[in-house]
Amino acid sequence: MASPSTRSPPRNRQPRLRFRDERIFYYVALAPTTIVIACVIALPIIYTFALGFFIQNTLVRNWRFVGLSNYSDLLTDADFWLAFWNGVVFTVGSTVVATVFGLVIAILLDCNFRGRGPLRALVIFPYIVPSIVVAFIWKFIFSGRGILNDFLGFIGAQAVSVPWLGDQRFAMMAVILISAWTWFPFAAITLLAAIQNVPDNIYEAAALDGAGPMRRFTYLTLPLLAPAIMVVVLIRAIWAFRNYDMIWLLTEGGPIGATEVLPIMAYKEAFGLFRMGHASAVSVSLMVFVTLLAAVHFRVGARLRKAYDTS
Amino acid sequence: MTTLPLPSQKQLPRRNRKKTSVLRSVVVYGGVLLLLFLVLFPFYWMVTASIKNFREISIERTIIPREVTFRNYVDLFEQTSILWHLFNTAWISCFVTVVTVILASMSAYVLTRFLTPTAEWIARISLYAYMVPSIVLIIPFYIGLRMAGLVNTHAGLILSYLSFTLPLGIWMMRACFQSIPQTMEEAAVVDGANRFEAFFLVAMPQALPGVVSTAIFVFILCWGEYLYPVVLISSDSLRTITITLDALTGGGQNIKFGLLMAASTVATVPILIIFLVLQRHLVRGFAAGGYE
Repeated sequence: MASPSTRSPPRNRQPRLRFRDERIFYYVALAPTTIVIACVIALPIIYTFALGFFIQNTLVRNWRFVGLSNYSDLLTDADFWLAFWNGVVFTVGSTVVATVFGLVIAILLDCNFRGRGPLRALVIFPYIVPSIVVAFIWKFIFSGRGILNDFLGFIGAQAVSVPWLGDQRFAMMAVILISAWTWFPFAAITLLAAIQNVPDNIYEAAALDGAGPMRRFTYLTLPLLAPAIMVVVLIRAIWAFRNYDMIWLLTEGGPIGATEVLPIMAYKEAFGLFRMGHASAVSVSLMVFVTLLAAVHFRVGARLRKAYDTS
Repeated sequence: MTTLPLPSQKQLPRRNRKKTSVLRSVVVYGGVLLLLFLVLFPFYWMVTASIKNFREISIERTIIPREVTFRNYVDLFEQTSILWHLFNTAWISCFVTVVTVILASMSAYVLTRFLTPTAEWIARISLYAYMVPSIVLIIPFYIGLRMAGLVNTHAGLILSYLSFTLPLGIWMMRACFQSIPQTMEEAAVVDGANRFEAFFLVAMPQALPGVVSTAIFVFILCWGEYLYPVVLISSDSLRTITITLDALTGGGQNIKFGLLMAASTVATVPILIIFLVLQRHLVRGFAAGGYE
């Protein structure tokens, strides 16, 4: 069976290694990549799996096999489920915000206006800046005596001094908004490409039939964009759920665990407490969730490609 | 084909049309301004804070700096070896980018042209590998590199970077080669070229835009990478730029935002240059599936 994302015509599905130089080329080209992937991805994953069955007291030495007890510890650990739940909230929140905002921006960037080209490029910028820089800027803006509170005080005519990232009630919301800010460019540019793929004459026909902008949006744009939106949502969900650095840099999982997600829990277990066995168990369960999402992504992607013949 | 007259243009009253188009441009330009503000203000705030004095940063919080000072930059260059760290980051990122592009374009070419079962498996594994959380890999990296004596070296760091750049590179280059028709290579093979020649002389020149996009994305990812260097690098002289920034936050409650913003500005400038010079390729890279 061909991989789901292969789109070549069937005649190419046959191995085409007829000539000797093709066979040599095949091995020369694939061997280095295979070795590197085996060393830096496959072996480490296997190692982490194995580590999850052990407890180690001092670094590297002194391994003790404990079977599934790391996992049973986790399942009864309230912190683990809190971290899982926080991850779900963060994932859903930042995915929804980034996708909706990205869709609005994509529609805006599809309109005709002066300076459209430069703006389309400019939108990408938040996405390519190092995450630590983004975290610093927004920490500064969101701090107790930051510009956001000045602005809110200006609108509401009374002084506000909420340390948004340091307040248990608002920290998750702030983290969601900030990570949506760095991520909306991907949604916007991907959806813009999808919008441009929709032939104009469909809209013209709808306009002739008397459909207004709102009806054109709900009955034409949204259904036609559904596959692209689906892909954006799934990719974002995978990346949000496994995201480590943005949340860590903004709050370190605090205050009082309000933004602690599974990757941060694993990091703290591994490099704060040096409990590698526990940390591995946490990261293996994280990987299971991410793999489920990835499986849905590949499934949906393959089916959408079949139905719409777009990627 | 005959062109039919558009009834809507005849039927709609003139005034009404004008009104909607005015409303439309108000909405569009309003949205554009809002978007510009949202994208640019954080960076404006970063750059201005880096040239303000302490009073203006935390007490007066002036929108436009009244008095320009380079104190923060002077402090930054005195307290840290940020230039050296910039150099470290640059050479590591370049090295990883070159290795990734070479390996990824060769293997992606094979993965699109020779669909053997092994190749399909490698394609699937590398697509999945890109979604593996880096936190899963960092524990074995740390233990493994310690045993190999490569912890706290650039070699170890480069190896660990390949774990996320190579899958991304394969993913992007695969999309690139899929969009290139095979007919020219086949013609070259019929004319007596071997596969090496078909790859280097026929396919690669066509794939050059894709190579550039891939290289930019890989470089940007390496430049901003935080988790691997923070765990694997401990000596000051080996640090990358993200760790320089990270180290500035340490030391008590009093975060010196002026210093942090100056360091952030320094770390952003190379990305800004890449953005200004190569933005066309960046936009195309998104279409090819280049995502973080």
